[in-house]
Amino acid sequence: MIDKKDVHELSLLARLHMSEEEEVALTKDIDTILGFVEQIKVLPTDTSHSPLGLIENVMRDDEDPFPRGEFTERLLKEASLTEGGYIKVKKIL
Amino acid sequence: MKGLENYTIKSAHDALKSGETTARALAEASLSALEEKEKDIHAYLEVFDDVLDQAEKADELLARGEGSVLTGIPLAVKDNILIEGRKVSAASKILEGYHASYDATAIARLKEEHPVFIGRTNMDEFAMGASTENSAYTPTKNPLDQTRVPGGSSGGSAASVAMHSVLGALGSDTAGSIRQPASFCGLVGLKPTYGSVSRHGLIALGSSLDVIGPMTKTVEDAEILFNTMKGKDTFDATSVEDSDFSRKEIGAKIKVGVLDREYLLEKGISNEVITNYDTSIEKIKSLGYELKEIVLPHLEYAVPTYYVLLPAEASSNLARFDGIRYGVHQDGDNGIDDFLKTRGQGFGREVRRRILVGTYVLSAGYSDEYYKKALSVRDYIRKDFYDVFREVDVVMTPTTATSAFRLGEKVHDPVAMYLEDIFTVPANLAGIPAITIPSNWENKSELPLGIQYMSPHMHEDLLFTIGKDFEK
Repeated sequence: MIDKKDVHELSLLARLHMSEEEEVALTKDIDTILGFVEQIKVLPTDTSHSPLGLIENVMRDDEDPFPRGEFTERLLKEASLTEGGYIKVKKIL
Repeated sequence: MKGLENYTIKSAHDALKSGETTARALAEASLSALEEKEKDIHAYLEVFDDVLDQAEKADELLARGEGSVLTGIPLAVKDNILIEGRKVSAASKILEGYHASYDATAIARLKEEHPVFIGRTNMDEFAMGASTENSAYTPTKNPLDQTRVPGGSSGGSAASVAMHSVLGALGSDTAGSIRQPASFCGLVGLKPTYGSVSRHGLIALGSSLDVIGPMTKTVEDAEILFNTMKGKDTFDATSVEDSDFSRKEIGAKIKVGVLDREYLLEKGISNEVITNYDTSIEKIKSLGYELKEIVLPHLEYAVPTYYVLLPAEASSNLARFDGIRYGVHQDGDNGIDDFLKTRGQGFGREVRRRILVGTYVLSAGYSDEYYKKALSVRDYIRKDFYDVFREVDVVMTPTTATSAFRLGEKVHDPVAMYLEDIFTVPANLAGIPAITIPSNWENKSELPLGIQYMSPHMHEDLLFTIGKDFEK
């Protein structure tokens, strides 16, 4: 069972502001969803199938960098606040 | 002017080549279909203002005897695929006003053939949904019956083809988002092998599941679009090529695996779907395919597994929407408050719901119980297909559990909406290709139902072969 306090904490972790009313509604929704996905727990956790997994780590050398500034203007154009070729954010400390 | 209902991609290409039509005439036919129907259907979030310019360029190429099968063909693109310089929003308010900084690889490959991009199509916000009702803008209606949904999340793309405003559209499929709307709108929809079409420039939902694919009127058209978009891409480390997989030996007769009828009844699949499945099995048999009953022992766990893995991946992927680098920014008292407000106001209800579920199943203390368990169950499902494809070449199932449902029917019941994916999600979990083909199309007074075929990794060729036979 998940309660409203859990949902409130999750919303802070996920950086999602929510009204109290929505927290109540989502508590019910999320509880139903978790109740539904619960059924996978009857299967034992088994890693013996792992050769079928297709995930491999792909690494490359950090070489041939783009010329400095090649994409700066294009990307900065989409940011909400910029200053002198940088993205501007509020003071953190 | 001949309407687009008279053409497929292939036949329009032939007509362009013979001089019977021009790219401009096709583009005008598209705009005239939009003029007539779009105010009711809402398939598009934006119709591009340079459609006729694009068509003129295509006509110049064709006049010089250049160009390919896609040159001058009107296409629509789902609003989560980037076209450089154009708006793209994943139907979310959080990306309002954002312009793509680059082309998706699939788009870059298409652009080389000079099709005419008509517009960007409506979808469930961030592709989360099965009805296009989760769009932050407006729901899309099914052109075949406007009281019904077109399916989702690529509902706008399906509607754009079904309303004859384009000859093909791009969608993305994470759990059935190409196949289910294609099925609801009487179209062919291909979810290619995971990695066969690059995800570069596709706004991420579930990165281990997402793939771009075509929605068209015929199998041949789907094949044309797929062949243009596919291939290894240095911008997507998970992209694959044919040689990454061993080829399955196919005998003289393609062997088709079918599900047990009793099993479908037990799962509460609607009668119309089961009857249609029976009829389709008879049809495949009469076409000379060899049939065999198969079992996918863990099929019932596919949807719950997906609804752990998908929210987990989506909550991570959507962490990038912070209102700083792109999209909408809401100002708060401090940096953290900026995030809380931007994301709290920018994301719609279903997106917030899934972000919270994803945050929960990944949190310390719960990740073993949910996320790691789901990864393990995903391997059971992969193994099911691995075993089944030792017995048969293709697996045949219904595409959906019902035909297109009514607008508003499932919107307040997330789990009922999730169960829409029961037949489609296994292919995403296993990474294998799957295609839906309209099946009860002789009787156009009924709502369409799709039949799905799935094959081993990189065996789209089998799907095209059986699909072309089946659609006749």
